[in-house]
Amino acid sequence: MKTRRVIGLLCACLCLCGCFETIEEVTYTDSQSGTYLLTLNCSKSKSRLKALVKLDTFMGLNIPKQWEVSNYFNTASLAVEKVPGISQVNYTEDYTNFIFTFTFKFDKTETLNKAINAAAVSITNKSNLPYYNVFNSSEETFQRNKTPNDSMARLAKKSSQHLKLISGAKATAIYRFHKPVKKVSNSKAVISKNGKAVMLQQDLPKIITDPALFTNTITF
Amino acid sequence: MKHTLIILCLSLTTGLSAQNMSDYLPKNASYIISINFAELEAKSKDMDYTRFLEPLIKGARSRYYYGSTDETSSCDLISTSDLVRKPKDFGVDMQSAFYVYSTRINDISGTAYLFKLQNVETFRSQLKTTCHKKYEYQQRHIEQATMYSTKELAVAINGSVALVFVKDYNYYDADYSHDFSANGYVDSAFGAENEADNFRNDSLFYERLNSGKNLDYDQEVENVRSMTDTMITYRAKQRQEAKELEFVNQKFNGIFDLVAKLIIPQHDNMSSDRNFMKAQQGGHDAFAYMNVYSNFAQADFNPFSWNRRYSRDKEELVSSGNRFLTSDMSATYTIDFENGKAVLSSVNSYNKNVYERFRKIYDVKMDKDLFKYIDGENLLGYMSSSVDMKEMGKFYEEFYIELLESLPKRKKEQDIMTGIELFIAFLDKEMLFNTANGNMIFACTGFTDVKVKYTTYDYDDDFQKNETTEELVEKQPKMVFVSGIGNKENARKLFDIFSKFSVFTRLKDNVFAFYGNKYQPVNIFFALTDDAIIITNDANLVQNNLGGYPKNKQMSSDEKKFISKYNFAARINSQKMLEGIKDTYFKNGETLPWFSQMMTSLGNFELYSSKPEKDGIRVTAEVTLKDQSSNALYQILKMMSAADGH
Repeated sequence: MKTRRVIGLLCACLCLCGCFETIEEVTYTDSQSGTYLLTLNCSKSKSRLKALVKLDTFMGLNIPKQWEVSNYFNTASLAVEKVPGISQVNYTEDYTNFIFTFTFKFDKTETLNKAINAAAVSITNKSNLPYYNVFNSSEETFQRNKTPNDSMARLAKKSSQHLKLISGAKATAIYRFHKPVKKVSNSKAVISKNGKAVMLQQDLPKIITDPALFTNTITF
Repeated sequence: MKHTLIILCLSLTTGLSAQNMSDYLPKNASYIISINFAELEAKSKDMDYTRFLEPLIKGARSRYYYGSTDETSSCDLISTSDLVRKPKDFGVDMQSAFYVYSTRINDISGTAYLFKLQNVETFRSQLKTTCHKKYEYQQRHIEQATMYSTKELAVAINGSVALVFVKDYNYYDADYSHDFSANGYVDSAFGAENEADNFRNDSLFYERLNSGKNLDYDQEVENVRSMTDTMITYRAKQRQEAKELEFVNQKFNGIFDLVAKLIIPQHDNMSSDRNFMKAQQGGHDAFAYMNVYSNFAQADFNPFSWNRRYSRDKEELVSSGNRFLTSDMSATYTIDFENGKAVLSSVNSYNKNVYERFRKIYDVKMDKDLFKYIDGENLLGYMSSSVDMKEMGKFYEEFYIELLESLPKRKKEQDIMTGIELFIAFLDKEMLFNTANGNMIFACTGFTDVKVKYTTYDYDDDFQKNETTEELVEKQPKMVFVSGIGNKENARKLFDIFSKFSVFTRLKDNVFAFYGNKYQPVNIFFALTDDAIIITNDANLVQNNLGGYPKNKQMSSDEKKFISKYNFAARINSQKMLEGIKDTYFKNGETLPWFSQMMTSLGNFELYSSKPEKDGIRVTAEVTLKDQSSNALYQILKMMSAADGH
């Protein structure tokens, strides 16, 4: 039920916003530790979202209330806080511009993966959610792995119409390191001028149909 | 033989009248809803219409407040949700009306479901009478009926008539105010008996210890202990159980008394209410009857009851008996699904004194000068009203004073009424009721472009994120509200005062604007002309057409006639509206399946009122559908199902 409500909001966003962006940022301060920041920016569709959040349901999906969204963030932050090696968990909710952020510090990539998994379990309320390594890192490489086909993707896949409606949605990933990057595996990924950051931008509908498009192996 | 015939005739008459379900409906019910399940079932075909009945389902809501778990709800005496959703499974006679009404007798109020049974045994088999804890369920028989009750819910069966009553939640009724288990069985008698027993034992022990015999001390303690009266606890428990039973019985008595009164034909019943019977005999798919005054008098709507609702202070209440305008008030709402059309109708009934006043209020026609401000070329829908605002203001002033005076209140609260009257005496009625003269049109005339700022990010050479603000053009529905002017001098005075607020910008002598902010991204213009006050987000109207649109761009004569004919009128050109939404909100003209379904099925919406008749005024709303051969309920449900993604 909880999962359905989260999916409800996201799908409703997808269908009515059309234009929104997600930004995933991982910034390493040394070879091990760093900061994770996830941003959902629906500012471009704020007028429609303002109307949408007043509804209880849309297209058969439950639309959560503002306090419920806050609850999800709170639950996720509490779950992430419990992961050893995680600190400074924080989230922001801006219901004027519909921009939401979730951030925390991690001591190593393994901890980052644990935190992301803990957040997923707490939000979806599914204790049996399979553990999934979002990132892998070593001295030589950093990897962004393929997202498994989650329920949101399955739901969106059900109707090609939904995907057409979100043709303007963007997903951005930025990875910043303390050492220079030699090469990237994803042809869409770009290395920064100082050589220590990589940015990958993709259309969200494409990632939903083919999660492999967001994968990247960065070699140092 | 003669006697036998008379008795037979009498019993037949009694039998027949008993079958009239409206005889069972108490006249003091604040609302009554009647559902014709047979019609709805036939008209909806295989589609599920029960979602519309959701608001009628009580019980689950009350339980929520009790904080019960699913386990207890599965042990409800009857599931009102299932009863309303699957009446056939409960042996309900689908051909007969199914009523839901709200009632209050003494301190108990709640919702009652009244219906005729086709199969009493099927209904009985649905009652969960065996899974309740001690004191949580009782069953009683009276001459006419068998009654079953838990603390929140009661069921009564009288022949083929059944009633389910769901009690309203009442804080002072809650069980925790009488928590017996927490107190245990320690009462004053228990204490006294225990004390006496201890004293007796101690004395015995003392006597034996001082008897001079050589005693085993431990053995003596054991001996004295064995002499303790073990019945003290048992008796206390019995007393406590009797007390608990008495309390529970008292609670059940209240519910049983109420249900016993409701399961028999009522002395003062709805059969004598002409408006209710009119709706009843209209053969509607469903209708709702509201006893307007009863609703006001009830605690939830009575403004004088808020501060005594939770008070145990039983101060005598007073009210004025003067009901010149407020007697015989009721409202009936009916709904009928026909082939290709759904018709909703409301009749507000009043007494003959009100009729005279209403005749004056509604004896006006739409001011034709207002039509010129509506962009007829892009018109998607409108609502209009034409009433004599001065007469209406006068009427409602008297009406509400009489209504408030007649509501039960404490003696000291009568001063509130005097205060209200004093306040009204100081009001400038000319300003209040004659600045706008009661002629109004509110219309949607297409879509307009609005610039909206939004937040996004750009990235520097090292991919550091920077927040930026950009602008996009969004479509918003173009709305216009036009009101006729009564007193021009007052209209100008108010217009000038309003324009001074800092949120407004004066554009011309007769135009000022509110420019949207990040919270309200919409520009609203206010204009004053010789014959109208205009509020709109259509910049073109206030900049270029304040003198009115040219005749060939105004509303069609058909629309003008429609508005002029009725005091209240509304029309939505659904097709044009949906096409506008499609062009505005869906990229490349691609829509979702449910939207396409709406476009292919939905016709127009129309609303119009009748002139006041002697006993009421009627407002009718019609939703037409393109397919005139299939029932509207079926088509609407199909559209909704598509919207749900099924």
